[in-house]
Amino acid sequence: MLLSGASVAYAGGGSTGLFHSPKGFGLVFEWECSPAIYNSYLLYADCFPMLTGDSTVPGIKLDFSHNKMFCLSETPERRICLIAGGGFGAGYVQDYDMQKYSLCPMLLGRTGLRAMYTKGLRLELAWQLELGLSVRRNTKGDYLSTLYKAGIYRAFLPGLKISYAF
Amino acid sequence: MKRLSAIMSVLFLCCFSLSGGEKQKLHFGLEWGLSYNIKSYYHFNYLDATVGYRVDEKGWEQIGDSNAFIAAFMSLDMGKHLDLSLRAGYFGVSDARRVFPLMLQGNCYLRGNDCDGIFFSAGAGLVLGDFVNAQYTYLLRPGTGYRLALGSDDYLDFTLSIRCAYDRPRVWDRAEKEYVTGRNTLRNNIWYYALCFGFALSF
Repeated sequence: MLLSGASVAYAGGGSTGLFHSPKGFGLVFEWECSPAIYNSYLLYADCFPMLTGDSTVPGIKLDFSHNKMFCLSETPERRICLIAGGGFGAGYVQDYDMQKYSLCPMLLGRTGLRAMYTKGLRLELAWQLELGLSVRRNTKGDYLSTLYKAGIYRAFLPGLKISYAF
Repeated sequence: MKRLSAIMSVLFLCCFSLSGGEKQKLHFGLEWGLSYNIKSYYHFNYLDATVGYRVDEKGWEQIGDSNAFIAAFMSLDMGKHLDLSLRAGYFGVSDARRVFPLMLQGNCYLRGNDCDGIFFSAGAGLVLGDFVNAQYTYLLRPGTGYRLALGSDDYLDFTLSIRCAYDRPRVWDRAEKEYVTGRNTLRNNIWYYALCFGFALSF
């Protein structure tokens, strides 16, 4: 059921918070356009190559997503929704089985669960599939582009956003 | 091992006796965060492989490496201000050692379990894999934090703690530039002191 009408957990406006994931850590800003739709802006340090020991320096990613919420349960204090969304992003990251960092523009699709509380707190656990191109220069100075494999292989890693609506 | 069991039993009994017959509620949750190893105290005693004399090394060492930790837990409310949780997880004790710990932790909430407010915690445990080789790694974790009661029995906790981990690593012989064999190792004790900052979600 797509949400319609006002809800006790719907604050409207913006919320800011933190992003936690095995993929990395970062900052998130969300804008609730309506009780059923919100936009999310995420800036985070891509730390997964550090976890696996492939790198000692994190990459960086910025993405935007437009999300819809489908209510699963609602109490006076909390609303839990299934979310589905899409967006785009870009990063300067290390791809799977690559040593060098490269620029990666990408399209993304995401799904997960979102809990919204009357106290203004939002928790979102989501999985994100990223389809992108890894653009880099070879030793001759020519530009090469290959599929950004990490965006697919690491899609199973969840990300948790904890944000607060002021 | 006996001492640790005694500590866990005393903590459990204390919490249980303080529960005062209140309704007990079970919660499940996840805690995660980052730890920063501040210092370690080591005491190694071993026989030198070539000459055969005894080497005794001890002292404090500045470390400065950081690790992540994650733990799933099950907690039981023991009255209005206390809860007791059993935690199993995964974290890095030092730069080269990752472990699966099992911990018992008690939390004391100054304003009550289901209210926003400060809490204090004390935990003790050991590392799961060490049951096999009987080289126990002990853990102690005193700490504090702030609980946000979100409603509908959901809680978000911000935690800050000092994790003391007693480990028995292989000893590196600086003169010989090799690890000391188990036969020549007489003592290999090290305490790691780490500052941990994390989040815990429970439902």
